[in-house]
Amino acid sequence: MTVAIGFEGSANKLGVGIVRYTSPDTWDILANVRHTYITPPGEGFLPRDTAAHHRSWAVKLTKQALKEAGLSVADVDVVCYTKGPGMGAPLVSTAVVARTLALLWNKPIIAVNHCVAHIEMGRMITGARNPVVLYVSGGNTQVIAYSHKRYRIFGETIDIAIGNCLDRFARVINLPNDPAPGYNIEQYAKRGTTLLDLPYTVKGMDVSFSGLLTQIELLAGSLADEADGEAASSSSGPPVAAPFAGAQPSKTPTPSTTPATKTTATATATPNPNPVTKPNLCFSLQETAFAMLVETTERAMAHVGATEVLVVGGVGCNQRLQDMMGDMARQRGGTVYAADERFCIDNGLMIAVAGVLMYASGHETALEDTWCTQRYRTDEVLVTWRDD
Amino acid sequence: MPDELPPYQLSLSIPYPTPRHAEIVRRVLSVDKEHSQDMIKRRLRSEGNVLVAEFDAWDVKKLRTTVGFFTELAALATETIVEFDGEGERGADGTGDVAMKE
Repeated sequence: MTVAIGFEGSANKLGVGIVRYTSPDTWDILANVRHTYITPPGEGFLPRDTAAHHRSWAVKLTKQALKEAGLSVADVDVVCYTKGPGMGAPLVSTAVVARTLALLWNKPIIAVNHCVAHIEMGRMITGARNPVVLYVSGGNTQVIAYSHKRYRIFGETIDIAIGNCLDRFARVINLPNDPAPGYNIEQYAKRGTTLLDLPYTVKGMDVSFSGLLTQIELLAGSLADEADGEAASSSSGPPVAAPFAGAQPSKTPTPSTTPATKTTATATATPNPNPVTKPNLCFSLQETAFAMLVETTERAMAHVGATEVLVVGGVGCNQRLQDMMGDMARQRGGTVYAADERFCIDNGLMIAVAGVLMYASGHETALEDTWCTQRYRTDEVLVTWRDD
Repeated sequence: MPDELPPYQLSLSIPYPTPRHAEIVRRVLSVDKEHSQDMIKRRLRSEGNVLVAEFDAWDVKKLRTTVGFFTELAALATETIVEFDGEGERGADGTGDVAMKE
């Protein structure tokens, strides 16, 4: 039995998790606490401020996690932390707490790859054995399959991550970052009725979202501002379908020289004089971007002959993405596995889980090697804990 | 460039209750290397119970940001030590258990 504590702080979530590991099939989750640095609508999170957030919460969260687990540091066998990839200053701030605890209590320390941690957390929670993994978050978009002791990247974004695309669009239309920009886009998308034409960019196994973002930002420029913006964001009740349809005064799409005019014309079938509404934009963004992800994931499944697909990362808790992936998997006679936000979104437990697997298979990181790195590819890690 | 004497120098002395604590913080903070080492150099050592950090800088703005981040991290390591060193003993009389706020 090994008790591991994990520290995650590579982006705007600070998480501390504790797991008791007995065997690859026997785990106890003892604690998994998290605090998110939430910026005002329209603003992203900057490294400096995010690091300050982590420093001010690290000790509090660690105490809370130990309290929930009913343990003291003395009961912990191994300390795990995120080495990367992620934002430098937040990573280092979190690592400092992990190092200090390890030295104070003379515990071994394990440097964990954030992406590998997402995969191992997903496998542990869902029971998926050897899935094709779609890892989708604010900083990463990768289609991954395991082969010969590596998590190999079959396809990935060639520019921005899907979550970054969603976050930035949420900023453009001023959606709150609380609880998460992607969550708020998902709620708006439920009320969308018209699919607006957006660039669909799949290049071989890779995807691209920057053109999609540019185009939808242009479209958002012709949003009917007052009614769409304020009425929608202040109605916190259950989503209702119709309030925008037909209620718009007919507006001329603003940038008449841009492709925006052309694309809005594709929605002529609807009675709505201006189909460019926040719900339709969110809906179209999700449908287009997620279809790209499902396509590349399906190709990876066909290539490796897999029937399981596991969706991890913050965007992985999007219900629409899970449903689209489920439709695809079912048509192939396969299964989609996904976790809820406690385990999908960055958390400390996933670092503890991956770390304890590494520790159990002989890893240990020397203190002088516990530095952090902003770039750390998923396939750099030798997966010593899997024998298949 | 570091041919001549650095135009800016700063020395910090941070005393800890014991040499062990000073040495732990030194080891924790020694791991991360400074970026742009042609602009700033950092030396860390512990002298008894005192952690000594010396900075040589060729750019005053770089010195300010580096020292700022360094002191924040030193404060965090110190806070961690204060909260968790000898946690078991303190837990017995309840003083190690501070209620969560927020």
